[in-house]
Amino acid sequence: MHRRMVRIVLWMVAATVVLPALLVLAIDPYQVLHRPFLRTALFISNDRYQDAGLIHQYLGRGDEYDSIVIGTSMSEGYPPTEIGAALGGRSALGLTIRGGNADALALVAESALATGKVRHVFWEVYRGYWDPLWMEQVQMPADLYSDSTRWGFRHYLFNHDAVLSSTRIVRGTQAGVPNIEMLYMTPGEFTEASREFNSPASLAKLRAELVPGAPIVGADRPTNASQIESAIRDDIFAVVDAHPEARFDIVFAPTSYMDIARRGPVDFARRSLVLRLLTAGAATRPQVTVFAFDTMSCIGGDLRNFRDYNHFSPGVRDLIVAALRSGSSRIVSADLDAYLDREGREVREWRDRFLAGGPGYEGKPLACAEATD
Amino acid sequence: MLFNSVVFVLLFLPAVFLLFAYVHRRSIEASLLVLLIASIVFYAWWRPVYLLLLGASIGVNYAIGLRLQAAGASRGWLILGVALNLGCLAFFKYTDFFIGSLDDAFGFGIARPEIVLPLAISFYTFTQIAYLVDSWRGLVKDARFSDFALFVTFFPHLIAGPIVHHSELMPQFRKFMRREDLWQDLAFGLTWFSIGLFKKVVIADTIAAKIDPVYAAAKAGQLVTFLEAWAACLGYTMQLYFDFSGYSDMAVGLGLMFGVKLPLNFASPYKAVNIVEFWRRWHITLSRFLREYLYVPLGGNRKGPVRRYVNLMITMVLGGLWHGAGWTFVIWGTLHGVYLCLNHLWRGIKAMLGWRQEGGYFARLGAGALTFMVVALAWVLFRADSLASAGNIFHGLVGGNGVLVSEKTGAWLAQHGALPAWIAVAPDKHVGALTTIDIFSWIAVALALVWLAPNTQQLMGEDGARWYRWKPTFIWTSFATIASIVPLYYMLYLPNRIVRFIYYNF
Repeated sequence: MHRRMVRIVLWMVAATVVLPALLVLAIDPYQVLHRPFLRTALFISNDRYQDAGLIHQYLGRGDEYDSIVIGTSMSEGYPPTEIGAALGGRSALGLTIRGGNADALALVAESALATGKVRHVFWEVYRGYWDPLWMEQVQMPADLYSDSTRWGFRHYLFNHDAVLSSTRIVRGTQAGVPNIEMLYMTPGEFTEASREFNSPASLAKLRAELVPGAPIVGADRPTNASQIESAIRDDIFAVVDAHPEARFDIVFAPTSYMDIARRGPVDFARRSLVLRLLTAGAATRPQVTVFAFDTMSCIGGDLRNFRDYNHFSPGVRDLIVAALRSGSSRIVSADLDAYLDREGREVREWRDRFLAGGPGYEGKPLACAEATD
Repeated sequence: MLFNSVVFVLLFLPAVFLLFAYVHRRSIEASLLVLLIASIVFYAWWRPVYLLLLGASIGVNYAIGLRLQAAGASRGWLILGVALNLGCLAFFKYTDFFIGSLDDAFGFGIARPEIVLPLAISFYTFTQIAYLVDSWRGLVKDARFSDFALFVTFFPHLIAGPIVHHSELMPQFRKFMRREDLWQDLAFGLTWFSIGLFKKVVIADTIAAKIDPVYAAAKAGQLVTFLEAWAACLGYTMQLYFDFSGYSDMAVGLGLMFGVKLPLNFASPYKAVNIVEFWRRWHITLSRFLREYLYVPLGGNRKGPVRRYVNLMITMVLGGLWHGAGWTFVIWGTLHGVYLCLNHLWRGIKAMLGWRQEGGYFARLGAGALTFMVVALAWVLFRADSLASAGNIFHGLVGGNGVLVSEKTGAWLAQHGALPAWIAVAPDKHVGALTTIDIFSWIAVALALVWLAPNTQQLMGEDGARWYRWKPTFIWTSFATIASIVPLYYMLYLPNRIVRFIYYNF
C-alpha cells in the first residue's frame, strides 16, 4: 500500500514536471523552437516572447527580411515593405517591445543582428527608455535572445505563459494574427483613443497640467545623465560597432509639445543630452544617421496627431517613412544647438497659444510636412 | 538551498534519499556520512565560505562539550563555551545594529561594517548552547563527533529549525538499521513534506505577493489607508504562519523520510485563547529553549510574582532580539512580554476573585478573538522595516490615513447612497498599494484553515486517532498528489514566485 502510494505520487510529480514542457515543445506558441506543424501559423502579440520566435524562425531561417525595426510601442505598425524600402532594403521585420528599455531593445537588436541577415536597422530612441524606474518593470525572457545554446530555452519550456498559450492554441481560443504583417497592428485604435484625448474634457485637464510662464528649457546636466550616457554607449553604439555590415537609422521619436511642456527643463535637458550623444556618435560612424522631428510644429504641436502624450498617428508614421527615404529631418552635431533653440521656442509658443484657449494648431494635420515635401 | 526550490525537490532530495536508502541497512557510519555530506552540501550551496564558521563552531563546541562531560569539569568551560557562541552571534547579527543605534543616538559618524549574517547562525548557536549546558548538567554521555556534527547540521532542521535538542535527535541516528519499512516512512514523510510545501508555495507566497507592496509603500513614506493597513496586518499574520509552519512541516516530513522524528513546532497557534497558550503553540521549540535555558535559570516563577514578571520581560525582549537586530523586534518582544505579564496578572485576579480559569464557550470565543488580534497587531512590528513604517500602518488601521475603496465597491456604495465624503474611491483597480482587493478572499480562506481545519499533525494522526488520519488510501494518495503537484507546478512554471522562507532571515 505504502509503496503504491509513493509510486503514484512520484509518477504524478514526474508528469507535472514533464507534460506541460512537452506541450510547449510540441506546440511552441511563439515559434521560438520551430515553425508550426500540424497547425496553421499564429502570431501572438506578446512581443517579449514573440520577437524571439520571429528572429529565430523568420529572420534567421529565411531570406524574406533584411531589415528590422527596433523600438517601443511607438514604432509598432510600420508596414514591413514600405519601411524596408525606405531603409533601402527588402522587407523590414518589426521587433518592437512595448515599454522596452535600453537593455531590452539592445538584447533584441543583438539577437537579430547575430543571424547575419540584417543589413538595415530602424532604431527608435524614446525619451524615457533609460528611466530607471521603468527599467525595473521590464521583464524580458533574456535567455530566449542571449543564450545561443538550447539549454537557454528551458525558461521557455518551463513557463506558465507558454503553457497557457499552448493550451489555448490546442483549444483554438488563442488570440493572434495569421501573418507577421498584421502583428502588433491595432487598426482603429488610434482614431478612437485620439478622439478621447482631444475631447473638451481631456483638453481642459491637459491645460490644468501646464503652468503659464514656466520655463521649458534652462536646466543644465540632467540628474540621470550617467544612465543616459551608458544607455547610448553600451546599448546602442556598442551594438552598432559590433555590426559594421549593417546601416543604422536612429529615429528620435517625436512626442507631443504637451508632453515636453509639462515635463519642463530637466526633461528637456535629458532630450538634449540624448540627441547630443546620438549625433556625436553618428559623426564618427558613417553607417549611422540620426533623425529628429521635434522642430516640426505640425507634428508635436497638433494634439490630433496623438492618442496620448507620446503615441502618434499613422500619418506621422508615414511622414517618418518619407523622411527616411528622402533624408530630410536628418540631424547632425553642427545643427543641434539651433535645432534645440527652435524646439524650445516652438514648445513655449505652442503652450502659450494652448493656454490662451486655442487648440494649439492651425489648418489640417501635418500641413507643414506637406509644405516641406 | 531552499526547500521550495526546484533543485532541492527534484535533484538534491531524490539523490540523497537514493544514496541513503542504499546504505542505511548496510552501515550506520555510512548512513551518517551520507547525511552529513548532504547537509554540508545543502548549507554550502548558499555561501561556501561560511562552512568554515559552521565547522569551527561544531569543532569548538564538541571539544568544550567533552571537557564539560568529564568528571569534575570546571564551570569556566561552560562560561567560555556560552560566551564564544553568543559572542559569535553578537558579532555577526548585532554589530551593525549596536553601532547604528549608537550612531543614531550620539551622532558619532561611525562607518557601519558590512557583515553578512551567516545562514542559520541563530539556530545552530542555540542548539549548541543547549548541548553545552546539558553537558555541564551531566545529561550528555559519550557523544560521538559524527553524531554531534550531524545533530547540528542535519539539513531538515539546520536553516530554520525546529530547534532540536540533542537528547531527542542523537539517539535516533543509531537506529537507522532497525528501520522496519522504508516505503512507509517515505509515504508518510512525503505527505507531510507536501502539505508544508503547499502551505508555503501556494498560500504564504501568494499572500506575500499581494501585501508586500503595502509594506513597501509604508517604507517609502506613502500613507497607508484603512483597507491597505488591514490587508497588511491580517495578510502578514496569515503569511507568517503558513510560511513558517509550512517550513516546519517540510522539515518534519524530510526527517521522517530519513527515519528521524523532529519535534513539532506548531499546534494551531491561532486557536489559542490566551497569550500563554499561544506561546505553547507557536514556534514550540523556541519557546521550549527560552523557557529551559533562559527563563528557568533566571529564576522563573520561583522567586515571587515580581521576579516572575521581570524574568518574563527579559526572556521575551531577548526572544525578540533573537529574531532580528532591530528596534522593531525589540519592541515586538517587549510587547509580547507585556502581553504575558497581563495574562498572568489576569489569571491571578481571577484566582483571587474565585472565578473559573476556563470560561464558557462565548468567553473562550471572545478570548480567542482578542488573543488573535493582539498577536496580529504585534506582527506589524515584526514585519515593518522601521518604527516609522509600523506607525504608518497602525495609523492606517484606525483610519487615520483615510479610507480608500476599490472602484467597484465605490460604485456599489454610491448606488446604495452609502458613499460618505470621507471614503475615497480608487481611480482604477488598484486600491493604493494593493493591486486588487482579492487579498481579503485569501485572508478569509487562510483564516478558515487556521481556525476550522485540523493542523498537520492532527491530519497525520500524530495526536490521536481521528477518522481522517493519514492512511495510504486512495483519498490520501490523491490528497498527497495534489499537495505535491500544485506547488511543484508553481515552482517550475512560475519561477518568479519563489520566495525565501521568512525565518531564513533569522
